[in-house]
Parts: sequence; structure tokens; C-alpha cells
Amino acid sequence: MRTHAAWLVLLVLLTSLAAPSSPVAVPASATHGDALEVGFMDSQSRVDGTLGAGEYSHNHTDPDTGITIYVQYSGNVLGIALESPGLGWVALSLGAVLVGSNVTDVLVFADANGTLLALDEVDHGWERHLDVTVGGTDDIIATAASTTGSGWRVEFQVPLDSADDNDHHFLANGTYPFSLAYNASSSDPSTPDTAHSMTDLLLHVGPSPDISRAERTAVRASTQELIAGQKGTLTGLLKNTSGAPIPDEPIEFYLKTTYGLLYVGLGRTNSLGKAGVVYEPKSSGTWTLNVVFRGTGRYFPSNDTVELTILEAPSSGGFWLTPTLGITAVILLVVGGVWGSYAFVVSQLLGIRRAGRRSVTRHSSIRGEGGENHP
Amino acid sequence: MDPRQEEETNALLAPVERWSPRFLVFVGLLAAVVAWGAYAYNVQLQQGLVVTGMRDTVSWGLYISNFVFFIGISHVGALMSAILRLTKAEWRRPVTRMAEAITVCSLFVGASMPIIDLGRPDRLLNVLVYGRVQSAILWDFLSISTYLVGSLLFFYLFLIPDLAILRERLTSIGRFRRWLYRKLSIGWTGAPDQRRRLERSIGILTILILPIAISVHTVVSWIFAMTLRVGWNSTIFGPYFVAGALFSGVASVLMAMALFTHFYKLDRWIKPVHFRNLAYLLLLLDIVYIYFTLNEYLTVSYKSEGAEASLLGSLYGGSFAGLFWTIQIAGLIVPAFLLAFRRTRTTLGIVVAATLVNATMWLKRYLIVVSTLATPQMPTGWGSYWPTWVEWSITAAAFAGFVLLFALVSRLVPIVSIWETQEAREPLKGTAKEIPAGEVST
Repeated sequence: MRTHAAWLVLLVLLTSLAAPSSPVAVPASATHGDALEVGFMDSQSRVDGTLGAGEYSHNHTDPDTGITIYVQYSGNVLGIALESPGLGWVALSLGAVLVGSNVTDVLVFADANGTLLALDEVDHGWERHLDVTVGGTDDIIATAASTTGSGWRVEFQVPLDSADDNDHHFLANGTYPFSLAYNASSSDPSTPDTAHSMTDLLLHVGPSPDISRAERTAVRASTQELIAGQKGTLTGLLKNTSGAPIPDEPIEFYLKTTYGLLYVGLGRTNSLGKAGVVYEPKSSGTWTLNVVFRGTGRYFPSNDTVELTILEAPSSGGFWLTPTLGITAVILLVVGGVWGSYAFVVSQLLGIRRAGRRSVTRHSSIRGEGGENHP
Repeated sequence: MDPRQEEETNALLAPVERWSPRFLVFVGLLAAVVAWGAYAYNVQLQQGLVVTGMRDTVSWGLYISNFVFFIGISHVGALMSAILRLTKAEWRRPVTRMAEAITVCSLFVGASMPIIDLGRPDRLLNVLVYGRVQSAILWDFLSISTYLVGSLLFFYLFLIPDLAILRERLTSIGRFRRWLYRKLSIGWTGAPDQRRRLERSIGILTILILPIAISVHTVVSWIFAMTLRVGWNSTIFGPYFVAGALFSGVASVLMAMALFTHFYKLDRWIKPVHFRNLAYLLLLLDIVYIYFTLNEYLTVSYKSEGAEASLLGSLYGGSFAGLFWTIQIAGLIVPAFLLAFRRTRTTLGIVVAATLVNATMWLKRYLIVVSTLATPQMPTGWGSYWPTWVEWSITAAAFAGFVLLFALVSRLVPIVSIWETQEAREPLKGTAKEIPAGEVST
């Protein structure tokens, strides 16, 4: 409970730094003062845990925390990398989700024993929730991490303007406050921070290019026949409207499920405009595969859906008793046995009633009267 | 029938034959509480589960605690009755009917709790229609319905000879009850063929009901233990729950015995030896439960893995510490002392111990359900839960409904089995023949 309270204190601090955070519209020609410029780039950042030459437009090292933040945007995607001086969790608060409110968008990352934890959360000032638990969606598109000497780096992408009301909505030419925090050693995000931003940091989203120059695209989804329990490939083909393949662009693959879109993976197009992911379905059935190209400054976004049929795995012919079949058989045997015994007891009760009637009939015939039961 | 037997039968039939005004007032009061609970449930049905204190983090509360508690005490009828019959413990005869009635009444109340916990009870059948065989919820549905039917049959089989006595002896009662006894006694006359069939059925169910009862509470525990939640992710939850169920069940029988002995004047049948023997059983179960508790908490505390340590911190010294230590001290340690020493092992001491056990075992179920759900699984902070007036009202109605059902059962059939207590004397009977006065030697 003590750590919980400490984390709440941190959140209040983060929230107070981030709010109020109504976007300050700044003319493109105006200077942005100390605001970190988020520059538009032709291609999205490569989320692989490393910093490529020219991958990000700008960066800034926060003197209070020592965290370096790298930023860029392309199309509707904001690419960010955070370099933390510690090995514990690192968090970025992105300001109010609604103009004038104190509800802020918080992104938390941690390396939990080799598993990268990426949490898209909303902070109401007194408690935080994962977006998905309050009717929103997890909008962190991709994450990757690597170690950097005594610290670690996490790269991720989020939409500039997602459809989720729990996320901050960025607009080109807008200036927004943000803050940073990290823990030096603990990957448990409920532990208090080692340091957090003490002053208001500002982030300015640069102007978007003239979209009239952008090309329209068409992505086509295709699948090979998939079998449950076996690896198969999902592919997407990205071309412009004149049919020329578009290389080196990210394509996202989703499956439509009862619980919404299930993120399957991300592939990057090759010289033929083809991107793919290897997918191993667990169960058979027919699903809808959704292939998404989010667009960049040069290309408009596009998406496509295709029906994906996953076949039952063929029987090996040897051991046919699957766990489900085993459980079903046990339940049927046990429950069937018990209810069979009940049926037998009921048959005995019916026998008792028949015997009682016979006894009454005999009794009545001896006495020459009928009807009433007697012991 | 010998005069003593006749007089005993009349004494046991007396509460069934005459429903005193005091009893009717008592029933009226209980019915009023149940009606208030029904009103609260109607509010919940109209407005949804938002009228409860349950939210997305703590999504189970009083209803599921009540469910586990009532299913727990329902074990006593089956297990105690079956075990004592199989071991031919003769002292069991006056108390088994009470235990079996507790089983049936608590099962009805307990089984209704998950339905009340559903925001949309009209979707109950979806458990069967869309249920997955791998789901512990489906197993629970199957095991509880199987146990309910088995317990009803078990209870009914032992009633049949007494129902025939009621059919023959109670002629001044209302027409409905006469019809009820006539139908339910299924023409029992005690004929050899009937006896043979009844004994065969009793033999089958006495053996069958044991694994069913154990499996039911094991499956109830799996609702928790099949998850990866801290505090629930345990391999010993099955036996731990079964031991806890028997523990609270025996305590319930002791409380019922004390109440019936007092109000129904059953001292002739329920004697200090019955309290004492059940007190030994309660003490044994107390020790077993302490063993399981130590095993559960010590192993987890020793490892103190991340989130488990957080939960344990809240139990040992945090927001749940008051509840936790009350349960350990008032529910386990104090009853153990009361039952262990001859000086305190009086009827009063035993009843006090049983009351403490039952009260704290209900708290224990609440603690198991709520503390784990309140423990954060994600860095979203601790969940909070406090039941609303709707939940308290429905809980009060559940307890009142249980007592009401039990009270009605005790007024519809003899709460001490007439034929079983008479049967106990059968081996002592010999054949006697009157000696003419003149031949009696002096």
C-alpha cells in the first residue's frame, strides 16, 4: 500500500505538470521557444530498439531526469524513442485527453524479465486505468527495446490522433506539454520514480506537408491455407494506384475477433511491395484478416480485409485423445455415472410406490373395501 | 407400539402438528426480510449491477462470498450424515436429519447467489448453451446441480418412513399438508419389498454422496484456483475449501442443535454427549484448518513473490489486517481453546465456539474473494469495494431465507428422525410373553 501511495503522488506530480494541456496553436512561421519540435518525415520510424541515422527529426535530454527523448511523425503516426539512464520503468505523460480536463494520457514501459511491458493508460488524477479497461483501446502500435550501457532504450509508435477518447489528440502545428519519469532499477511500475520532470516540457508538432503531393495506395491482403497449430504466412501487397510496388513501408496485420481487433504482427514491404508475418493459429474457424497501411507523408493510408479460413489440424492417427476430449470424456463418465445412479434410486422409489399400491389392494380385497393407504 | 415409544413419537410430532402463534410471527419476520431482499434485487434488476459496490477491479463481492459460505455449510449434511452412517456411529441418529436439512436449505440459498451476481440472469442458460467444457464455471454449474439433486434424494429417502407416520397420525391438519404427506410417503407401509428397496437406495446414496460433496467444494475452489490471481493461485485450495466447508458445516449443526433443543424441547434426544462428540469433530477440523492456513500462508510468505508480497502486506498489516487477524484469532485460536479444555467444553462453550467459527468463516470467504481482486494486477492502483445497501439487503435476505426454509422444514417433518431413533432400540428388543399371574414365582 505504501508503494501504491508513492505512485499516486508521482501521478499527481505528472498530472500537474502535464495539465492544463489544451493545444496551443502556434502559426507555422512562429518560433517555438523551448518546445521540442516533432518534425514530419517521409517514412515512419523503424521500431527495432536502435536509432538509425536520420530516423528521428529531433531529440531533447531532460535535465531533471536525464531521459533523452527522440521524436518524429509521419502520416498519422508519432514515433518516439526514450533513453532512460536507469534499467527500471520509464513513463511519458502526454497531457490532457480533452481540452481543459485533468485527465491525462500516460504511456509506461518496462522490461519485466525480458518481456517488454507497454501500457497505454489514462490518468484521472486520483487513479489510473489501462485504456482497455475503461472502454478504450491499446493504441501503442509497436514497441522494441535495447540496452544502452547503464540504461535502456524503448522505441514505440502511437497514432497522432487515435479514435480513443482516452488518448491525447495531437494536431499538426499544435504545442503540447509533456513530462517524463523513470525508476533506476525496478521494472514494477507501481514503485515510485527515481526522478521526474520538474518543469513543463513542451512538444511542438511540426507542420504536415502539402498532402496534394501524396500518392494514393492500395494494399491487398492474401493468405495461404492455414492449419491450426501450424505456422503459416499472412501477406499484404502495397502498390500505388498505377500498380507500382511501394517498398520499405510498414503493414500491420489484425484479426477481427469477438473481442475486437487482435494485433497479429507488423511486416515491412520488400522491393515487390510485399510484406508478411508468420502466424500460428491456435484454433480452427473462419476469421476476417485486416491488413492496414497507415500512410506516410508520401502515401495515403489504405487497408483491406480478407476472409481467413483456418482448418482443423489433421489427426496424427496415433494418440487421438486431446485434452478437451479427455476432459469431456471424464465429465460425461462421472456425471453420467452419478445421474445414472440417481435414476436407479428413482426407479427404486417407483418400486416402493408400486409395492405400496399392491399392499393396499391386497389389504382392501381382504377387507372388501378400496382406496385408502394403510401401513 | 410400547407406551414410551408412543409418547416419544407424539413429542416429536407435536411441533409438526401445531404451528404456534410465536412460530408464525417468527416466520412473518423472516419473510419480511426476504421480501425486502426481493425488493433490493428488483432494484438491481432494473438498474443493473451499478447499484452494487462491484466494479471492474473488484468484480465479486458479497454475493460470491455468500455463495461459497452456503455451499460450504451444505457439506455437513452429506458428509457428516454419510460418514457417521458408514461408520455406524449410533449417536448420530438424532442429529443427522438436522444436518441433512441444513444441506438442502443452504444449497438452495447458495445456488441462487451466482444467479443474483449475474447482471443479466436471463442469460443463465448461456452457461450451458455456450459453455466451454474447459471452463471451471461449467464444472461448477454441473457439480452444484448434481449435488442439489443428490442431496434432495438423500434427504428424502430418510424421510419416507416418517412421512408415512405423518400421513397416518396427523389427521387434524390442513387438507394441503395431508395431501402432501400422502403423496410424498409414496404408499410406504414398511413391507419387506419396500424396506429392501429403501435400504438399497440409502446404501447407494450414502456412498455416492461422499465423493459428490467433496467434488462440489473442490470445484467451487477451482473457480478461484484455476486463475493466476495472487492469493488464489494455489494447489491446496481444493482440500482447504473442503476442510473449511466441513468446519463451518459442523458449527452450523451445533448451532441448530442448540436452538432446536431450546425451542423444541429436544433434550430427551439431543444430549450433552451429542454436543461433546460434535465438539471433538469441530476441534479436529479446527486443527486441520489451522494446518492448511499455516501451509497456505507460510509458503507464500516465505517466497514473498512480487504481487503476493503486496497482498500479504495488506493482510498482515494493511487494509485487510483487521479482518485477517479477527479470523485467525476469533475463528481458529479461540474456538480451539474453548473446545480443547474440559472446563470450557460445556454446551454453552461449544455453542459459543460454533458461533465464532461460523461468523469468521463467512468473513474468511469475504476476505478470499475481495482481497485478491483488490490487489492490483496492473499498475492501476488498489481496487476498492464496499457493499451497497442492495448487497447488504440481499445478503440479509439470504440468511433470513435460509433460516426460514430450515424453520419450515422443521415444522413440516420431525427434525429428529422418528423411525431412525426407534430403529436404534430394535436390537435391544427381545420377545416377551405374559406369564399368568399364578405362575409367577415369588
